[in-house]
Amino acid sequence: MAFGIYDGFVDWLLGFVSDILPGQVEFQDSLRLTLIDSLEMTSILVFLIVNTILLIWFERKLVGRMMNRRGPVFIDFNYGHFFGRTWKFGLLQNIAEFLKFFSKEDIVPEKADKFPFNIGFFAFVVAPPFMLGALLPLGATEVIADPAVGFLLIFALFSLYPVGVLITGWSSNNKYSVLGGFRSAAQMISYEIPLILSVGAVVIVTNSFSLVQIASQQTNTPAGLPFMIFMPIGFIVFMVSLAAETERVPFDIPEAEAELVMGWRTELTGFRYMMSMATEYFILLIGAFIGVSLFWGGAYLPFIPASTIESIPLLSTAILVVKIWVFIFLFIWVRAALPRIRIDQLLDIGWKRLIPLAFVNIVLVIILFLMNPGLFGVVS
Amino acid sequence: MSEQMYIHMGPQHPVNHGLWTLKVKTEGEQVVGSEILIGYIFRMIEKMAESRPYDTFQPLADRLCYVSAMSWEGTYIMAIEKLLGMEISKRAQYMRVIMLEFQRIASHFTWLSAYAGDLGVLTMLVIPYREREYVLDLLEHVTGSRMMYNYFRVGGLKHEFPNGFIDDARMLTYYLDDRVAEYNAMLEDSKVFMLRSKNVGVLSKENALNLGATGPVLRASGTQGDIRKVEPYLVYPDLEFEVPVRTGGDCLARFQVRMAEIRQSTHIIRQALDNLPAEGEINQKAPRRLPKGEVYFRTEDPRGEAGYYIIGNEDQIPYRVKIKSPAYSNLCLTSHLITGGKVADIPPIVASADLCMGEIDR
Repeated sequence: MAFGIYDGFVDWLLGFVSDILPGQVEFQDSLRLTLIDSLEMTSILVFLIVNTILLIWFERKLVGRMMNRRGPVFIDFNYGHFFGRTWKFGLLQNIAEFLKFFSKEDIVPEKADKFPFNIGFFAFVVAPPFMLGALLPLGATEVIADPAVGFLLIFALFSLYPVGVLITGWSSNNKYSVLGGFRSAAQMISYEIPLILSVGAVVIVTNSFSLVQIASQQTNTPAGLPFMIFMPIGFIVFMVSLAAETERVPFDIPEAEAELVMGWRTELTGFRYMMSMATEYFILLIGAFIGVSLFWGGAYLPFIPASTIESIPLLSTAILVVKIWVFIFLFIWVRAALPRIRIDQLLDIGWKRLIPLAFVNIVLVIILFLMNPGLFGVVS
Repeated sequence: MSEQMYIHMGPQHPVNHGLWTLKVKTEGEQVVGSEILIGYIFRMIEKMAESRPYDTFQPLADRLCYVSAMSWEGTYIMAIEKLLGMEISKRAQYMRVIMLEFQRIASHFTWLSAYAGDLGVLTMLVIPYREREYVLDLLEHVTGSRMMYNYFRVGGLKHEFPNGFIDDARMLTYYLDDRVAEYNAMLEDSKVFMLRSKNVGVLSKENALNLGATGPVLRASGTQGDIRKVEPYLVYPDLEFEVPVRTGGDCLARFQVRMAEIRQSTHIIRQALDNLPAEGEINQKAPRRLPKGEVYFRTEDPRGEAGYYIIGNEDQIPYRVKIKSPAYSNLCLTSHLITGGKVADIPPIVASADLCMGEIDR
């Protein structure tokens, strides 16, 4: 699979180089593919980073409005003064803050265990989400890699994150970080199970681990309705577990600022702190990607044939982006409304509520599937 | 994680709304012991009161607690009046009641936002401040100052209410009633809020009495103990109001008591505005010297029983001034409440005691 939008450009580029150096170079086909791949990788990285920055801005602005504030207003392009007010939306606030964090001194605490503090953070906290980026579909056909083990790989990479959090928290030799790190580990390990179980129901009906295939199977359901309609319990379990996995309110226990200052990232400063926060939003974005692909029909819409969406270039990408932002809006909304729960209550909810619910969901889905496979888009 | 360790929460820590240290001994997430260290902002307020003419201490009494300055200066002034044996006019008394009740509302709003913020619901950290700001605007309209009012005087008040105050105040009370109902919808109807508040930091009735709890903390544990009823002052006996009492003793009960107190305060203010006498001397002349004798006068502060013990010595300068702070006794019992609970329960418990370090350290 490939995006298909860079082929022409790469052909033109190689042709241009052969034209100005006639008869001197002969390109292998592999070079062409490598160029296309790297362009695609760059585009998904840029897409994710731009979306992360916009997501942070979106959250600040939205939560601000919900809290009767205005959010960031000052740092923005100068759009001028008209209709009686200065139009500024704080779009560049995050850029300014990134610059600020970059210009700060990189402090490793004197008493910290230097090796795990550095390696644990960058290898296990920062790197895995970026690796996940390669597996994400940017549209109906705009996919870089679509391995058969898609989900297994995604959750394997996801489960590296708590390890990194634990290592960073523990090695920074700070009591708040230790407690935060342990909380984070306990939380993520217990919520991975309902998360994977809720995904399991989808995998059962689609017989696939691939995000692309699952998304496209949702076009075969009655009226092309997404899986959310047919497995609402699974969707709820997935949302709650995802909120816990991404450490969002009401599950932001590892960084409960009321008692643990900044939780496991207490000792992170400057660039490291920025990366840890950016990673959190990055993971939320990836979680939204997964959730949209699994339960909201990915880049497809109900009632509109898949071939129509695929035939218009970048339409599927636009649909996907809109869905992702709606998905993220739900999390932001919850953040503005709910308090944080306690770690023992969190584990109770995980083990005593969500896991049984996830099993109930699987059983219901299997029964429904056996009664009518067409409900889940299986064409017999 | 079974080994014990100390976690220092403070003096600079988000759990402390003020400058103090909570030294918590933990075993994993479990709190097994705690120690409270205070005194970081000791300002010799009592000594300052003993070294200047009695009327010049009043601006300093404002500084005892920045959240409820009016009630601290009011208590001081009323204690001095009791020592001098002065009787002030009904009109001044009603005006004082209105001011004190508005101050109570403002203080409870501050408490609510601090408590909600500690629970992690940051929307409710911001929104009560908006309502508090309306109250403070009104108080500023009257006194000229947003927080440090300096409005009471020995013998009455500094000046009359400004024009239009009565209508503004009445409108504001109805607005606040609506808002409190909205807060209840936001918090009490929220399952997560109940999980975090119910049965958290339970203070039994015996412990509340033994540990010297006062104010909403005491009333949340099932004892009435409102000075406005127990030992009435000003015109409170003429006004009809209830003292909300809950028996849960947990953070939820303390929340409910305070929310109910806001509603009672608006009720009191409306009555006082209706009954406000048109005529009356509001700033009588006061004697220059304090008579020989001692007095203890207490009022119902937003936090509980606030008192001044003053000894006069035929002089302008009081011989001795001792301040009884309600937050001090409530602070001491938080140490008792958090022991045996979870680390995550420390912020709501500490916040539910409604601490104000200014009056604790003095």
